[in-house]
Amino acid sequence: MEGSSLVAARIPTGGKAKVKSTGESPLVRWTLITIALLFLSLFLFVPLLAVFVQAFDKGVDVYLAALVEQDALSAIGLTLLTAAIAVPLNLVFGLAAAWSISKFDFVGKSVLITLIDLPFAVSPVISGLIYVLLFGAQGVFGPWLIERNVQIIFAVPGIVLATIFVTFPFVARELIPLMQDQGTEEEETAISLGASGWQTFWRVTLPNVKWGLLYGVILCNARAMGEFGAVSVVSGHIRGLTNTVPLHIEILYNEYNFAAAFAVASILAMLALVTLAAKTFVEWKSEEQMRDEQP
Amino acid sequence: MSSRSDTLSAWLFLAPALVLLGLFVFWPVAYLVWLGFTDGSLRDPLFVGTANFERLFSSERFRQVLVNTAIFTVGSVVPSVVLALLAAVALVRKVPLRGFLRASYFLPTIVSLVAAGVAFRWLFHPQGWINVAIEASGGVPVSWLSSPTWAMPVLIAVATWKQIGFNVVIFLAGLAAVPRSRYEAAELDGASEWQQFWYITLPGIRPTLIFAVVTTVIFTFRSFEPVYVMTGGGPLNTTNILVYYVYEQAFGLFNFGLSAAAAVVLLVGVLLVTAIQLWVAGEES
Repeated sequence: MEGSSLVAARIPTGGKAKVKSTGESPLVRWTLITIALLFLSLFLFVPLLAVFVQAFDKGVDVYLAALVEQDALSAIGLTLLTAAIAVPLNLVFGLAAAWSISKFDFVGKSVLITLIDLPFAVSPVISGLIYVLLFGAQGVFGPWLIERNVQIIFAVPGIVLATIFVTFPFVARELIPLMQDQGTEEEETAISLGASGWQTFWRVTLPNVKWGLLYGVILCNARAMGEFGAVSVVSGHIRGLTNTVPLHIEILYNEYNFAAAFAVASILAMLALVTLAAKTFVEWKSEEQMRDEQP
Repeated sequence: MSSRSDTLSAWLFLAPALVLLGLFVFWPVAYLVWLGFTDGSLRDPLFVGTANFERLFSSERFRQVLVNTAIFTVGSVVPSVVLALLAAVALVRKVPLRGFLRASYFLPTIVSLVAAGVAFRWLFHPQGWINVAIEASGGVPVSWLSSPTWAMPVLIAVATWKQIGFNVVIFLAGLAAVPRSRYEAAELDGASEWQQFWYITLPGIRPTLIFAVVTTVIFTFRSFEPVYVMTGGGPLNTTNILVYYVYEQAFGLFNFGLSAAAAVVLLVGVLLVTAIQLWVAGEES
C-alpha cells in the first residue's frame, strides 16, 4: 500500500486506441476478458468472504458475543486510541515535511526525502525489535526508564511509537509529489497581495491538497489500525491491557476459538471495505477538482 | 525566495519533528546496525567486528533462510507483476464493471495482514475450502501448511494476493501515460495486438514496470505476518525467511547480536534494490 499514490491515480486512464478485431468476435473477446477479470476479483475477495462466513458460522449471537466480550472491547479501544494518536501526529508531520520540501529550496532536501522513506526500508517487525532493544527492561534505557517508573515496552506508549514508525511516511509521500506539481505560484501571489504565511497556508495551500491529504490519512489510518508485526513485538500480548485488534485475532485463532477470531477479524475486514469506499470517493472527488481546474 | 534563508527557515520549521524522528527512527536504526557488530549484550555490548556475519553465513540454517527468501521473493514478484500487468492492460479497455473491478483490486492492499492471514490459514486448513473444493472435484486433499513441498507455494500465493492489486493501480497509471498516437500509427501499419503490446506498451511503461518490480521485491523482502501467522517458519525450516529469522533469533533465542546482523543483511538487501532502481531511473532520464 505504501507507494500507492493519488498522483498515480490522478493520471486519467484515457484508454488505448480502438483495438481491431482479429479473429474471434468482439463479444467473445469482451466476455473472456471480463470473466478473467472477475476471476481475479474473486481470488482477491475469497479470503474476505471466508472471514465473514466463518465469523457467522456459529450464528449471530456468538458473533455479537465475541465482539462485546471484555477483552475484545479493550482491544478495540486500544486500537482506536493508537490510531487517534498516531494518525494526527503523522498528518502534522507529513504536511510540514511535504510543505517544506515542495515549496522551498534548501540544502539537504534529498537527504530529508530519503530519511522520510526509511521506515519503508525497515521491516515493521525490525522496527519493533529496535524499540524492545532500546526501551525494554533489559534494553539500553531500561534501567533509566524503570527508575523513573516509565514503561514503554509491553505498554501503550510502545504500541503507539511502533505504529507511528510504521505509518509515518504515508501522508508525506502522498503530498510531496502533489505539492511539487502545484508549485509556488499561487502562494507567491497570495503573499504579494498581502496575505500572511498562515493565511496563505490555510486559504491556498491546504485547499489545494485537501484530497491528497485525506487520501494519505485514510491509508495511514487503515495501516495504523491493522498493523501487526511491529506492534506484536512491543506489546507483550497482555490481554485486556496491551492487545490491539490484530493481536487479539491472532491469540483467539491460536486458542482454536475460530468463531471469535473471525468475528473480530470481520471488524478489520469491514474497516478495509470502508477504507476502500472512502479511497474511491476521494479519488473521484480529486479527479473532479482536477477537471474543474483545467477546463 | 533566496536559498540560504530558505535552508535555515526550512530546517528550523522542521526541527521539532526532526528531533523526534531522530530520537525514535533514525538513531534506533543506526543503533541496530551497530549492534550487529557487537556480541549483542544490551547493557554493555562488546564490539566483535564482522564475527556475527561470519557466523551467519557459515550457518547452514541461515543459508537455507537466504535461499527461502530468494524463492519467496522471486516466486511472489513474477506472478504479482505479470498478472497485474495483464489485468491492467485488460482494464484500460471499456470492459463491463470496469470501475468496480479497478476499485476492488485494491482491497488486499488495505486489509490487515492478520485478518488475511487467519483467513488463508483457514482456507488452506486440511478441512478448509481449498481441500473441500479439491475433494469435490475428485482430487486428493493436501495438508498444505504442514507439507514441506506446499507450505512455501501457499505463502507465495498469499504474498501475490497482497501485492497484485497495488501493481494493477501502478500499471494503470503507467499505461495511461503511453501516447495514444503510437497505437494509432501502429494500427495503420497493421500491427497485431500482440505486436502493439510488445513494441509499444512494454517499452512505454518501462519505468513503471521497474518501479512495480522494485516495490514488490521490497515488500516481499520485508513481509513477516504470513510466515508468523501461517507457518511459523516450518515445516522443517522451509518457510523461514529473513525477517522471520531476525525475529526468531531475537525473541526465540535472545541472540541479539546475530539477530541485528541478520537485520543488517536485510536492510542492505533493500537498499541495494532501491539503489538499482535509482540507477536505472537515472540512466533512463
